[in-house]
Amino acid sequence: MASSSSSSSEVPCSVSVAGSMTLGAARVTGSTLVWRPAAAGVQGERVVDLARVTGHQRNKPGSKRASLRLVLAPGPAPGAKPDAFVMQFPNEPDRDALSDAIKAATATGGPSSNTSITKNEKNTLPKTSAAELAARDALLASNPELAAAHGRLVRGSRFAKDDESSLAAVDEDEFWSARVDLFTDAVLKKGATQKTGISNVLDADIKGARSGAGNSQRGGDVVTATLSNEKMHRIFAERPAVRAAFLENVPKNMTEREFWTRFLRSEYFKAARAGAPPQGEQEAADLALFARRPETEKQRAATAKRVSADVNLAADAGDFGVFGSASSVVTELGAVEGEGGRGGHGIFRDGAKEPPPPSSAVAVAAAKEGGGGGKAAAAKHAAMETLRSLNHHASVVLRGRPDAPVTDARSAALAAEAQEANETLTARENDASSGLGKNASNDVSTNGRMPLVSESFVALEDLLEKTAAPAKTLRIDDPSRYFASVAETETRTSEEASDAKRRKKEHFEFGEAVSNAAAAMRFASDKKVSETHSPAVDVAAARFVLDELSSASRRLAAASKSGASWGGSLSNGNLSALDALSDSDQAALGSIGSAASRDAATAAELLRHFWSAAPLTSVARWEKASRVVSALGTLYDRMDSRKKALPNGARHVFAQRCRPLVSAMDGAFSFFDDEKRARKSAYAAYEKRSAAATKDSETEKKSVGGPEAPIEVS
Amino acid sequence: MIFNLEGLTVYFPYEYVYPEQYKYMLELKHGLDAKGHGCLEMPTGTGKTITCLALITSYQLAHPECGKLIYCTRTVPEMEKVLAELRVLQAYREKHVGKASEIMALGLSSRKNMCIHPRVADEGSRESVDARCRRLTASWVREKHMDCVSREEETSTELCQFFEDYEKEGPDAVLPPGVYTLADLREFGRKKGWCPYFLARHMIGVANVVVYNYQYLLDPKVSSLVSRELEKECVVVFDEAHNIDNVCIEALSVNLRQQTLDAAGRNITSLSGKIERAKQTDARRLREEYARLVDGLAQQGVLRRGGGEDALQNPVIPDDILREAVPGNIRRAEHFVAFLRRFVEYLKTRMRATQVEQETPAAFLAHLQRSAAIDGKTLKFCYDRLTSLLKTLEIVDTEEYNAVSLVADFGTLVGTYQAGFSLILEPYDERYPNIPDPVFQLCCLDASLAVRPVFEKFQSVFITSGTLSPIELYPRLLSFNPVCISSLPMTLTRECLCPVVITRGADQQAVSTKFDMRDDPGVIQNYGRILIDLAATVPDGLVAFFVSYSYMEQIVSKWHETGVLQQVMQHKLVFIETQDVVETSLALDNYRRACNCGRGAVFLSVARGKVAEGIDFDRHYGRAVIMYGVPYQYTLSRVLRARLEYLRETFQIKEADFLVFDA
Repeated sequence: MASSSSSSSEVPCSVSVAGSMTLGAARVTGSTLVWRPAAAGVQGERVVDLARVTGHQRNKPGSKRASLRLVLAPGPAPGAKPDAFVMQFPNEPDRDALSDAIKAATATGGPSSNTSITKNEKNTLPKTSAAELAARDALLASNPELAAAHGRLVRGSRFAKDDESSLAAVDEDEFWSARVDLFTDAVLKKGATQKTGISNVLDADIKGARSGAGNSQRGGDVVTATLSNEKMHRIFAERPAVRAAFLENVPKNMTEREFWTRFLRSEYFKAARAGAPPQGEQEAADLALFARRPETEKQRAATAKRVSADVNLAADAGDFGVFGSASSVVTELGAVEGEGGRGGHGIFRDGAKEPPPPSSAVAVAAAKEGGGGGKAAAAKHAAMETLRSLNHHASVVLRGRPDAPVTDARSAALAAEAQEANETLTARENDASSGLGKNASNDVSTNGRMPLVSESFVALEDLLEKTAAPAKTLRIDDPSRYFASVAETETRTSEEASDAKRRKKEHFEFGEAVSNAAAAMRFASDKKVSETHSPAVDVAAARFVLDELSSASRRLAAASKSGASWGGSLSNGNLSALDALSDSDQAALGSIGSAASRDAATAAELLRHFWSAAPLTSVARWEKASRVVSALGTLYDRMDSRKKALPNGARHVFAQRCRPLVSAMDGAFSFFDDEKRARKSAYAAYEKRSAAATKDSETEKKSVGGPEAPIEVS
Repeated sequence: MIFNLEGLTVYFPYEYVYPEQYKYMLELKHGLDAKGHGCLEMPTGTGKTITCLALITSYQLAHPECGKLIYCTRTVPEMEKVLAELRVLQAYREKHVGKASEIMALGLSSRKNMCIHPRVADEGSRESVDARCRRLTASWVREKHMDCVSREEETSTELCQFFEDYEKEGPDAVLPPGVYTLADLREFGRKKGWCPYFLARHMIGVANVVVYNYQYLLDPKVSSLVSRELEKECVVVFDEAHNIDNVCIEALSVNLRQQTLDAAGRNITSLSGKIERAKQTDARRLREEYARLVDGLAQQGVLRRGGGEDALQNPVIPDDILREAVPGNIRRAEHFVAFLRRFVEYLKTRMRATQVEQETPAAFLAHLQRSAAIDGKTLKFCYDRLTSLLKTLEIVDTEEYNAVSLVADFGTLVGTYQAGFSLILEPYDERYPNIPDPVFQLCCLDASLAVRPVFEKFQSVFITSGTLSPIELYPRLLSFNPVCISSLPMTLTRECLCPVVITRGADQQAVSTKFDMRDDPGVIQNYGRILIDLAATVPDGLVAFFVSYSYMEQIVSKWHETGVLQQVMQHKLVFIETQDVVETSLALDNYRRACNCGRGAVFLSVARGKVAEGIDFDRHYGRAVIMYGVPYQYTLSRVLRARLEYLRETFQIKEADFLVFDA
């Protein structure tokens, strides 16, 4: 029997050491079971962490040898198997004593601990992160109502008031787990801007696997390639030409399968030919279909514009012979077709400068002819393509994952396209908002060394907090003006700010909507609509709407008499009940109103915690449930006394209003009592524990925060 | 900090000044006091720009008689950086001296970078922007438009509203003092509705500091347009001037290719067509032109009517332009066109040569006289005559006539200069000997020709850079007499550079970019290994320089095939400089983004290339640098050999000296 708080008494037993049963003694100490061999000088002391115990087996009473087998959870090492620890006892009472001690320790996480959850259960709970803790604190600081609720409900809360400590029945974590939605946003915000990048790896594996000879029935040599949505997206992002070909031809000219087959085949042949010209018309057609399309002059200019000013070499390239004449500006079209072909000022073939590469046309022509020079030109052309694709690959990697979900080839293509367009757009915005010069002027500090642009810090972009859109304070004294101003700001922020006409229209739209709605209510039968184009709503119409609303709500309230609860405020829902009361009764009801609604909220929360503990199968659950039930009992009594203090008429109203809550509480109480009968063993274990705990706490001169004996309420 | 430098109060916007910066200022001040030229070297990263700006603007403040500072940079990004520094300086001065010290500083670039006209600015290349602009702003276009408007007719012509509004303001269109980058100018232009390009060109006259490209001073084609009216007292600074000799040479060189000549032929045909039409409809204009040419007024500014039609100017240094009447045989438009056609035909026959030919201008002219009966004197006027013709015919699409004006430039330069030039005809590129691609190159061999007017005109010209060694060579190459010449060392407070020379790869094989070794697969593999290992250990950005584009392309393709790049990509993204500037700029931008976001990146670039010369890889953008080989010039280049020969004969500069200097 576990009698002392720290460790049980020693129980003689034997354990297998190096294959032979060795006599020794075991005892439970804290959360561990320690076995020591009896004979001095014998090695093999065993320490079992009780938190690891998952199974607990005694052999049948009356067996030849009383033994106990503990199944231990696998250790942290990967692939570890569940472990077992077998002890043999000289007699059954010894075995049972140790078994009980172990059970008690595993059930409560050690006799000395007061925690409500066993070690095992606790370990499975997610650890509270620092960000979450900070978010909790921030929430409590900013929300006094929440802080008050925290004070009432949470044991040991720093917001607790003396008079309400009896209600504190839940733990910090339990309290917050009921309010996860409040702070997940705050916690998530910390890492919200963090984007998952994509890997640097160059080619998605699209070459496919070649089966080799293959069997002749299946068409001989087969190359099998697998495409996933991600791969498709990657292909579309890295090769805009393939994307364009897809969007143009699928499903109009070919099926998706056909498209991918052609693409993969073309890729395979391209790799296999290693620079040699394609063989056959179809191969050439495929190659042409998927070949990179040269950028237009406009696209190039747009690209040049979005590059930040201090690296923009294109800004004055070709203006003069800065780095050579205009002729050394290589354009997409190559040297011959482009402007470079026309010669110019400056020195064309300089030793220091590289001559512009031969154009693709020349390279292809030369490759056809063969010969050393032609090959060199073709190789040069191929190398340029490689370099270009490498650069493009890197920029695709920097773009990262698409925002839109990619579910099939088309969405992959569209996502890739959107990303590309988005890049151009954001780059342009950056250019517009932070010119090089402007940065500098902002950075000028008041004294000492002023940071230059190049010296200012570079913040990691995904660590920057996004600035929220400026909130508009709600002013209800003149709603029409408020909405008008909101509409105005919206239009102003939108791209076409200059479009004053549109703004005016939006402005009217709201007014129109309201007056139309009012008119529709008013003249339900005839279609005539009064044309009120003033921003303010027609007074008569507004009055009509208000009357209609209040009468409707009154009707609703009457229909569901007991529907109202203290959870809500004393608003129009209860108008009918209040209307029937005398003034003094109303005053009496009003005086206890806020306290009563607070109690109701507390009770609702406690009930939630109570039901979260059901079914009461373990000591920990019993412990929590009884804690909550006791707090509920206190509340119940308080509500009862409050009801009794009220004058007759008000008492009736109060009782009516409390009815749902009271019945819910009654339900909880009766469930609690039923469980006591239904799960006797668990309850007994709990009682034993709580008795020990109360004894402990008494010996320790009433430690704070110990669980109280359950109060029977029925 | 504010300190006294030999009696001059210097406003320096930082708390500390490095010893070498102090010495640099001292040298500069001596140069300014002596009203002479200077040549100053100070390593990169020591704050050359701000030192120079701080001293000269302080000098301007103390000596109002000192003219404006003309700060020449090589690229627009550099210009933007200078203006950013200047803004810091300006803020500091304003704080300590007050409004009185306000400076007016602005950058100037081509229309392409300054235009705010919604449609014109969208044009891609400089030529097309210029052409569209001229079409909207040329004086005759505007006159025609005004005519139509005054007669209240529908006009088919269109004008640029920004230019019109600016013109309407006339001399009242001024910028308030301050520092204006190109973006600021555009912004200001948009706000006021004025054309920023013409506003900036107008404001050059009153600005204290002008930051623009070398070419606006060195290239006679644009300098006579933009920088003609600058006063003698100006202080000129050429920043990053270690390549200034090349810029000078480029400014006076012309190359012709087969396509140029073909296009020129077409231009001439279309010109003669236009002349025929003009004869029938408006013969008066042609007669007037003839009369002007007889009087020799063409070059004397009579033609300059204001407006935005200004095309490139005479390619010859202004002092060398003959102030004479155009010779009689090309005064009539149809004669001139026939003359041009003959010249182009002659050039075409020369282009058919299969051997490399090299000759002096004198020999060329003699041969020309013999076979095409064109004399050098007439050739000299080629350019002016063509400009006059284009203006008379009211042609705004000068872009279309690029080819023929290039031929005219060629003719004028050949006709004007006898010494210091060389003509080289290469029928094919040596790298691709089987592809016929003839180039007729008129190359200037003497860098001092283009820069001489600058040294003569302005009282103080400073040449400064991070590397000007051997510094004695510059005055000789550019033929000027510096009053101060100094090479300042860098003060390092700690060991922050760790150079390592790698001669052997991981497998103990020797590595080199020697021509006979560079293609060895072992060498390529070892170079790749170096890159992979460094990429694995070095944080953020890593830059690698190769000796040439072709070598880089070759080695990168090999790396791509053998999977070296895949391995590098496990650690960092790879960006590569290409010969396409737009793409290179985009790659650079992305490279910076990759470094900024912590992914890390490798930039493969070419030594002496655009990126190596123009872009800073500071801080995390360049934690390590790999140089694959030492980038000497390609010594077999005919242009280079001609130049070396010329240098040896004229300036007694040894070839080896020059090559080392260049590298």
